[in-house]
Amino acid sequence: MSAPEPHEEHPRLKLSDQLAHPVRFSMVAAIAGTDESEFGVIRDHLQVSDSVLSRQASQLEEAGIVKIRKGFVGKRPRTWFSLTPKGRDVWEQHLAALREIANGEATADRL
Amino acid sequence: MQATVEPRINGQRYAWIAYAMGIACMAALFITGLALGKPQLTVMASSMAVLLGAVWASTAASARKRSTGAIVRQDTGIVVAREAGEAQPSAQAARELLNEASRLESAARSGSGWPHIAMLLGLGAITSLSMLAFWFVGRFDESLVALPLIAMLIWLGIFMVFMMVFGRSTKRGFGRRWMTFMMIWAGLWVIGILLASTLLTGQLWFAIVIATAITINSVIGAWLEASA
Repeated sequence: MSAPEPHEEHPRLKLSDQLAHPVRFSMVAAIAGTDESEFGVIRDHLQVSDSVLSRQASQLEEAGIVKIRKGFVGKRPRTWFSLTPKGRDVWEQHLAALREIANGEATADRL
Repeated sequence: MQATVEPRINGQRYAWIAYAMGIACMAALFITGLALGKPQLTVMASSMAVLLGAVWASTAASARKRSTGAIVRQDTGIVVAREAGEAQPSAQAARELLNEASRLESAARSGSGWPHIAMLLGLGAITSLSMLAFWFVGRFDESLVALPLIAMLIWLGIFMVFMMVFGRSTKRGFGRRWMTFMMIWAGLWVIGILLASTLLTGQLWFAIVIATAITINSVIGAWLEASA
C-alpha cells in the first residue's frame, strides 16, 4: 500500500521571514547580482541611512544569509557584502515562491 | 532631481572634451614622430591614444549605466515599502516585488564593472604596445629600453589604483573570469618576454603575434565583463 501524497503547501509558506522586511529584501536583491558589493553602493541603491542598512545587514548576517567583510582601501575603512551559499539558496527559494504566487493567480484568472 | 543630474552632465561634457583634446594631441605627436623619423615618439603617442580611447569608451559606458540606475532608484523602495509587513502578498504584489528585485539586481550589476573593464583594456593596450615598443627600441637604440618599460609600469599603476579605489562591487562570477584572463595574460607576457630576449630576439613577427594574442585576450575579457 503506497503512502498518501503529502498535500502541497501554499507558496506563501515558502517565503523567507528574513526577506519580508523591505530593506532586507532590497538589500539581498541588490547583492544577488554581484559577487561582492561595498556598503556605500548598496546604501546608494536602496537610498537608506547608514544606520538602517547597518542594522538590517547585521540581522541578515546573523541569519547566515549575508557575509560581511571589513577591510581598508588605503587608510579608509570599507565594508563589503556578499551572499553566502545558504543566502543564495534562500533568495532563490523566496523568488520561486513569489513567482508561484504571481503565476497562480494569473492561471486562476484564465480559468 | 534636476539639481543632481545637471552637474554630472556638465562634468561628462568636460571629460569628453579632455579626452578628445588628449587624443588630438597624441595624433599630432604621432604625425610628428613619423615626420621626424622617431619610432619612440610614434609608439608612445599611439599607446597613449589607445589608452585614452579605452578609458573614454569605458567611462561612457559606465556613465550611461549609472544614469539608468539613477532612474531605477527613484521608484525603488516605494513599491517594496508598500508591501512591507504583508505576510501573504497578493499575486499583484508578488509581481511588483519580482520586478523590483530584477531592477535592483540589474542596477547593482550594471554600475559595478567599469574599473575592471578599464583595467583589462588598459592592461591589454599597454602590454601589447610595449611588446612592439621593445622591438622598436631593440632595433634602433637598446639603451632606451627602460623608457617604454617605465611608461608601461606607470600606466599599470594608474589602472590598478583606479580599480582598487573605484572598484566598489564586482559582478557575479567576476572572480572566476578575472583569474582566467589574468592567467592567460601572464602566460603570454612571460612567453613573449622570455622568447623575445633569448631565441627570437629582434623578430618582428613574434612581437606582433604576442601583441595580437594579448589584445584578443584583453578584448574578450573586457567584452565578457561588460556583458555579464
